[in-house]
Amino acid sequence: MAIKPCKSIKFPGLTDTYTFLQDDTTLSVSGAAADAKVAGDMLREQSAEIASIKHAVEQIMPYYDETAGEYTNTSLKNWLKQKATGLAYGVRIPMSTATTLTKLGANANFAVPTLAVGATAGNDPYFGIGPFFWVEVNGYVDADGTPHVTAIRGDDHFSRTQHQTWILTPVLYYSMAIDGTNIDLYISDTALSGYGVQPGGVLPSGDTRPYMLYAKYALGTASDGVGAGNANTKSGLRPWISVSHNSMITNARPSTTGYAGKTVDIDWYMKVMLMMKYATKNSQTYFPQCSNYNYEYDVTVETSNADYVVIAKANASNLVVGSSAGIGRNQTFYKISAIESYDSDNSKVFLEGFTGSATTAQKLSTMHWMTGSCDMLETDGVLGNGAKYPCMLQGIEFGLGMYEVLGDVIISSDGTTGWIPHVVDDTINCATSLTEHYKSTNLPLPMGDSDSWKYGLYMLENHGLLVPTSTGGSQSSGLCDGQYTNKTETTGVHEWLGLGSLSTGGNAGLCCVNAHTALGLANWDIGSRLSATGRRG
Amino acid sequence: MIKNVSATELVPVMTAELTGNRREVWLNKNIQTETDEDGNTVWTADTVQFVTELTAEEVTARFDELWEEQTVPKPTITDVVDGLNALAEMLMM
Repeated sequence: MAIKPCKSIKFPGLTDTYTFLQDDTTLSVSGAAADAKVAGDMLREQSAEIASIKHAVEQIMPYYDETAGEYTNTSLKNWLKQKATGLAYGVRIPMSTATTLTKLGANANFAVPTLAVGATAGNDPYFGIGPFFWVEVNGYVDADGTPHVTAIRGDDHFSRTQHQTWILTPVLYYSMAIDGTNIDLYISDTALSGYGVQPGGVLPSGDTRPYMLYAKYALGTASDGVGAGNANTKSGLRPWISVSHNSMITNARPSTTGYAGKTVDIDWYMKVMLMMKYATKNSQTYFPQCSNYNYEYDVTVETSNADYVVIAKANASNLVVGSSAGIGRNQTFYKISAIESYDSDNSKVFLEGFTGSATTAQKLSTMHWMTGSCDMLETDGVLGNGAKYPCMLQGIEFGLGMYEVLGDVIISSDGTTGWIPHVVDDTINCATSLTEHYKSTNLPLPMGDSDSWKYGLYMLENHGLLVPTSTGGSQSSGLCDGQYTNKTETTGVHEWLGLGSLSTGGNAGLCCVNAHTALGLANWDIGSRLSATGRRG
Repeated sequence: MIKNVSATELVPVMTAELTGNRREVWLNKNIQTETDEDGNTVWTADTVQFVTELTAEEVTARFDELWEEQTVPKPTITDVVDGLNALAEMLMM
């Protein structure tokens, strides 16, 4: 017997109209209406139950809204609250040449993590704990700075290679007390008395962010990115180099999007995590970065239409399969996929994706590791031992062999007070000159009467930027990283290049700053990182 | 041991006080001055660095002994894992 719809019926007192599939044509109008009310009441009860279940789920775990195609921010915020410990984790930082920190408060209960090295797993006792919690997500940010998460690692639709990939962490709260000898730095996942919100933790609306999103990868370019150049944070990309402070304003379009070039908050986060977990100022003790891998070798045998380049065997032995090289130094370079013998004196260096010619007048030059090179690491670690490999800290891959320029900082010198970083109040106001939106940290980088690498002893923070300052350290004392500044009497505005490049060696590290280049200088060893947290109140 | 570079003078024994009657120590050997690419004088040295409860005077007196102690190669985690795997294989034979 075929089922056919009857008329839609609206029962007095109900706002909705119900249509029934039925074949009973004998019901009176009032009988049908009574049936409609029963069904309507059931639907209403079910809707209420679904809302109640959704509300309950949102309190304890990420809730994926199928209609919106993303997790609700309420549920993510509550999820992080569930993981919060409410404790204060501290570290005492000597303001001297000493590099060793003392763990304080709840942090004193934790051992220094054992790094993962390539395929060898590490052991991170902080993993998943309160303020140290992190997870990989796909997501995006609105123009007003509101973040969104579309997938969490483990979801079927999560992808490091197809979608923007971020490290989601709780918003941290912190306090810094300075007594002239030491700096006591504390962090918490909870707004404890006297603690401030971390850099980038407040939206322009004045609301605290539901969570932080940090770019997992260095800046790349691929379709579906943002800005004029499809800026991206994805695995498997060639790092986007030859960028500058100024070009990142075009590349990420901070004036009209919620994105920007690398911002001070991720710089702060990585430095704080290093000090908290590893109790040292010297990042290269654990994370040498790819900072001593600057080779340019003569091509020894001419090739054409080949996917390899031939160089001397002794030189090839210095190269690492999986790293990158190019014919000369430019924006096109390739992953070294294999190294094989060519003859008794020479080796073939295979370059993934390369088919072309190389003459003996050319050189094979090492370049920057591809993004995602550290994807095998599950906890803090390095891809290999030594200063030829990239690293990962709190899920964030770094040290691929190029500087990362900050998109929200301009360093200025008036010729007397030193090179002083200024931080823009909100990345929507990023500019190519020092406007009223740039706030002085009043903290000079290490000063001196020469254009040279200098060595600060400690960092102070203002406007969200941890600034290496003072002098008297070295590559193994104080901050253990170099800060390159021009002599104090020089005036100008320069960009902040952090981390270090292939050749920065012992000057590289999380506290490294190269501050001698103009705001628009773009070079083969300068990259950056997409930011989703530059809109701030 | 690392190759150290400093914009200020390096001397054979350098110390910095830490909390808990501990101090950080740098022992420097082969101290030299060089000229960097900008024409500035920099100091270079072979340096070992460690934390100790010894006084600066005790460190100076035991320089050679401490240097030797600190420059003995320490096994990497890969070495440790390889060693454990080799041991496991031996035990299974």
